[in-house]
Order: sequence, then C-alpha cells, then structure tokens
Amino acid sequence: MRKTIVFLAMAALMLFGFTAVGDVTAGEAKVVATIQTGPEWTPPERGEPLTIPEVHYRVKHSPYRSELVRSGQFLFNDASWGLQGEYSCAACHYERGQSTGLIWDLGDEGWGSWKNVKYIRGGRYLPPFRHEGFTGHPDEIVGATSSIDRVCGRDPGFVFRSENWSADRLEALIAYIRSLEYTGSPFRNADGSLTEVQKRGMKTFYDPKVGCANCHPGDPMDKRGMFGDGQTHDVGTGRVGKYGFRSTPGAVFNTKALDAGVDPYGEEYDVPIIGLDLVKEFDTPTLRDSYASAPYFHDGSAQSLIQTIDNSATEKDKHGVTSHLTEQELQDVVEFMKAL
Amino acid sequence: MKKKSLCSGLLSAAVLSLALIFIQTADAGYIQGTRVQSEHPSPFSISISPDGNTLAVANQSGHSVTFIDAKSQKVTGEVAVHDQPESSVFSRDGKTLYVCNAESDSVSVVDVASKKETKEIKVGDWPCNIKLSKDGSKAYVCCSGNMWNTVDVIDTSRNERASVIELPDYGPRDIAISPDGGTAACICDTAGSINRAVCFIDLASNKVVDRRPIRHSANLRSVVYSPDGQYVAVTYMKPKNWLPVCEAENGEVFTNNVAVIETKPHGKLAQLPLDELNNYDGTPYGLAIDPQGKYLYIAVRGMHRVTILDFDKIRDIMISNTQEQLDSYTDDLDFVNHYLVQRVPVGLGPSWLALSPDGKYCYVCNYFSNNVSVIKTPL
Repeated sequence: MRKTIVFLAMAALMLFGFTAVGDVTAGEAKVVATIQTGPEWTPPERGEPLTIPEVHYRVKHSPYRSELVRSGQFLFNDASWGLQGEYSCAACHYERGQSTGLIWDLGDEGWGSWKNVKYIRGGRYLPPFRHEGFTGHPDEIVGATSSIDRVCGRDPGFVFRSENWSADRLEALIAYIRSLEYTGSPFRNADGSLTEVQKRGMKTFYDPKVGCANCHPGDPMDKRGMFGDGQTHDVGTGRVGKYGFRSTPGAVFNTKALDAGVDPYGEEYDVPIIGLDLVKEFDTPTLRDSYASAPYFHDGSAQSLIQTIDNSATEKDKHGVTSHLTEQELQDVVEFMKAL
Repeated sequence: MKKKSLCSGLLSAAVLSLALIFIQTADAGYIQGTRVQSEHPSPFSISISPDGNTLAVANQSGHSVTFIDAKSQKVTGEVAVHDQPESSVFSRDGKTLYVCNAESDSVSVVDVASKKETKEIKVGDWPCNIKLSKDGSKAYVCCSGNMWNTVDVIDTSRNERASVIELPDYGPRDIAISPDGGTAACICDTAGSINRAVCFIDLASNKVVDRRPIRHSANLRSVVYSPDGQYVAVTYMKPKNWLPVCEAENGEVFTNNVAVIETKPHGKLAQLPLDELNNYDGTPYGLAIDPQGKYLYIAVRGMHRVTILDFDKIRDIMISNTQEQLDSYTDDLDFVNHYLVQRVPVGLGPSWLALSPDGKYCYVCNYFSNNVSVIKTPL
C-alpha cells in the first residue's frame, strides 16, 4: 500500500514537473493567420538601378496617381533598402512628412556645416529647396532635395549607403514627397479667422519699418500665400569663422560651447553644435506651418519662433528690424506666425 | 419619342454614374499628409476589447475603423470616422470605442453594437493615442502636435473633455497607465531635442511628478508598463547626429532601441539595442507586453517584422547591472542576443500591435499590406 502511494506521488510529481516545464519553455512564435481588411498590395519592383549620377537625371512631373503616391509613401517608410535596415526617410522627416527637428552634418556642403532637417510638407510650392537655395528646378530629383542624390547612393551614399534606385522607384518617392500638403494651423479661431492677438501681430508683421513681409510676403486668408520670396538672403545666421568662411573641412567651432568649457563633441550637450557655413545667404523658408517646423534657421539655431525675431540667434536687426519692439509686440508676431 | 427616351436614358445613366463616382470619392480617404485619394485603408493601429472577442483596426487612409471577430477572424463591419484615425480604445464594458482622429483634432465615440459614431469630441492638435484609466471613467488623449504639450482628459460618463494635463515637453506621443491606476507614463517626442523624455503624471492631481530624459533619443513611439508596475519600456531611435555622417561606423546614423526605465524615483534607465550587425530594426513602433510580463513585442515598421524580447532576461539585466554598465551596452550590436527571442516577419509596415487578454495571440496591423497578422506567441 505504502509502495503504491509513493509510486503514485512520484508519478504525480513527475507529471506536474513535466507540465511546469511545458509551461515555461518558450515555443516558437509564428504567424498562424492573416486577416485581409483591404486590397492586397505589393510594393514596386526594385528595377534596374540608375547608373548615371542622379543629379543629372530628372524625373518627369508625374500626375499624382494614387498608386504611384502610395508606392512612394511605402518607400518613404521602408528601411529595408538601406545598408543594414537602419532607418527610412521617415526617421528624419517623420511618417507625417514633418520634421524631427534634428540637425545633421551630411557633408553635402562639405563637412562641418550642420543643417536643420527640412520640414517637407508643402515643399513643392516654394523652390528652391536646399537651405542654401542651390537646387531650384521643381522637377529636379526631389528637388526638395538634391540630397536624395546622396540618399539614393550617388557618391559613396553617405546617408543610406544603398545602391542607386531605379527610375520608377525614384518617380514614386518624388510623387509622394511632392504631394505632401501643409497641415494648416490649429491656432486660429474655429471659423479660420485670426484671433485678436494674431491680428495685432499681423499689423507689426506688415509694418514696413519692421520689414518681415519684405521677404515673407503673403495674405493669411489666401491659401496660396506662401510667406516666402524664393530668394536667398543674409539675415545674420551664417556662421563665419575668425578668418572668414569655413576653410577647414570637418572643423567644428562652437564658440559659445567652447567659452562655456563644454566639449562640442560631448554627449551631454543639449543644444545644436554649430558648424561653419559655406555661404552666409540662405533660402527664405515659407512661414506656412511654421508652428510645426521647429527648430528654425538653416542650422536649427533658433529653438522657438520667438528666437527667430528677438535677435538672440541672429546679428542685431538683420532678420527684420525688431530691436525697438516691446516683448508683447514680439510675442504678438509669434502668435501671427503660428496662425499661418 | 424613341429619341427622347434614348436621351433621357443616357442622361439618367450619366447622372447615376456621376452620383456613384461622387459617392465613392466622398467616402474615400486620402494618403497621409496628402489630398491624394486612395482605395487602401492602411490599417495603422489595433485595439482589442476587454473580453478579447473583438478587434478594432484604425484605418489611417480609409478614415474608418474595421471591426474583426477575433474567434472567427472575419471582418464584421466598418464605421466611418474622421480624418486620419491613428488610435482607438474600448470602454471597460466593450460597448463603446473611442477613436483618435489625428488630422481632425477630435475623438470619435463609436457604439460598437450598431457600428455608428454617436459623438465627436474636439481635442487638442493631432491626437494620436488614447488610453483608459483603470476604472474606465476617464480617457487620456495624447495631443502630439509639434507645438502642443497637453494630454486631454475625457470624462467617459458624459463623453466630454473634462480637463487638460499640461506637460513640460511638446509632442506627447503615447501614454501608459500604471497597473495600480495611480500614475501615467507619457512619452514626449519633442522636435529639436536630442534628449527626449518620459513624463510621469500623478493621475489624482493631473500633475507631472517626474521627468526622465532618454539621452540621445528621437522618434519616441510607444510606451508600456510592465505588469508589476516596476518598469516602463519605450521604443525610440537613437540619432548619431553629433558626428558627421561619414564618421558614423557601419552607416549607423540611427540605431534602434528600447529604453527600459525603473519607475521608482532615480531608478536606472537602460537603452537596450534592438539591432544586430547587418540586421537593424529600422523604425521600431508599437509595443505590447503580455499579462505575465514575460515577453515584449515590438512592431518594426521599417523592416516589416515583429521583434520579441524576453522581458525576464531584461529584468535580470536591470537588476544585476549598475547604471554605468547599462550605459556601456547602448551601442553594442551583440547585446541584443542576451534578450532577443525571435524576429517574426509579418506584412508590410507593421505599426501597432495588440495582445489577446491571455497573451497567447498577438495581432499586428500591416499598414501597406492592408491586413492583420495573427501571431501565436511563445506563451
């Protein structure tokens, strides 16, 4: 009897033990079903990569065919075509076509010249596209960026380090980027009119003595108002070295950081590291959607809209004549810009 | 007479065709960020009812929500909401669904039984995520506009915006409620910052009580609490933008990580890599953890797969390492092998996922494939 009990107890223990092991041992995860909720879809073929430098290749201005734009949206979000699958276009420009607001030294104007990630919604409306305004033709590759040249593998392809793209895939990506629209401001009255503060700011904005509208012309009630002149200007943001413009590729100077004893390469620094620029004139950006496109200026040196006009990030009175304005007047102009 | 009939017939046909075209286009959504219409719904996020029987898929381009019966795995209906829905959550009784309409700046209240929108609640700029309080009496809405820093609170008994939680950072992108219901962890994807943060909110006072920056972080996308409430996990990308890109080794201009943070004051923070050499997890997105706290599931939008991590092993790493040691693992491309369980290929563009209440099934919505992958988990 005792033997039987011991035997049964041992059998029960063994059974429990095996069950417990079965519970904790990981099985292999696998897809057991796929529930289709819309049309099946496959991405465009990779195709034959272009063998000519893309900067000389122009994609025709295709109509915004839905399938083409969607293919472009896929390519914009797909990381698998990079060298190791590290990131996609959306890593910097967001899946919404906006901006992470990071600054990068992409080497497109020589090393040491950090550039603010461009807000690309509505980009097709206001060429030129690069911060320096070097790329002007609206049908040039992603015009909104001859940097797609590098993105797509011209030169060593510093950014994505991928192979060149085929013409079809480039066309799709460009169609998507060109079809991105401004979001429109959430800061206006519900009926789309300006608030009282925004109207006050508008008055200052259009004051010829202040001069904002000289380079940022537009009517806030006109959806075609771009608030940019498509020209380049020196507004006191070009970073000029002691002996003129940058002469040493790769050299980084951040005088404020150095004065403060901060290592500009250090990982603790939470403010953009400012390099030296190739030129001191930069493309006038549109003010449409400026509420969503921080930070500002070509190098992201203005973290907020107020810093673009209070002379803290520019030479005095070079980006509009604003030094005589009160704090309230400056804030009103900010509120007006947020409404565009 | 015949001519007249022919003419009127042709005219009617033309009017009918035009009406049909109008009906189709009026109902069609558009591709995100554009005004280009698309027949593709583009499922972006997925939520599951508390009883696990119903799935709700928010269709970003379709401007609608698709309901799926989880048992039969069949589509049971679709309801039109507003522009660019990006997230949804079921009420505790499963009868109501709250849907964030990102571009309409609103939350739709949907009656699940009749599959009809019963109310639209206006909220702040770009609502992209919504979670319920533990008792279900409130819904917390992340208003993620670049110049917006609020979580709007909806009273679910009246379905009205009741209050607003102000955050120190812009761009609140996702929020998780602690298991005891007392605290929320909200990730803020502040444009321009290279040290983006998790804000801990005391839900009794609606005040931020702690802020934990994640060094060198961008694109914070999702946050979850571990079931014991001791950790939160956050998906994000790590930009290497303090270097000229030509100096970024192996092209790792970005790396892809999950941050694991001890929720106790001054707790440790690990920035754990998801990448291996030649096999990066580009653009990690939605997160989920099973009820036992054993596995962490990450939808990898750019690489079209779900990465499964062993959270027990991650917990061991958190306990047995100092902060300094944890910091040293951040860029180690071998380290993921300590806690990687499996990478499961799914459809194209998986953005968000949801687990069944028992954690045995993981539902992943694939944005570009227009489908939902059902994964049998290792549990």
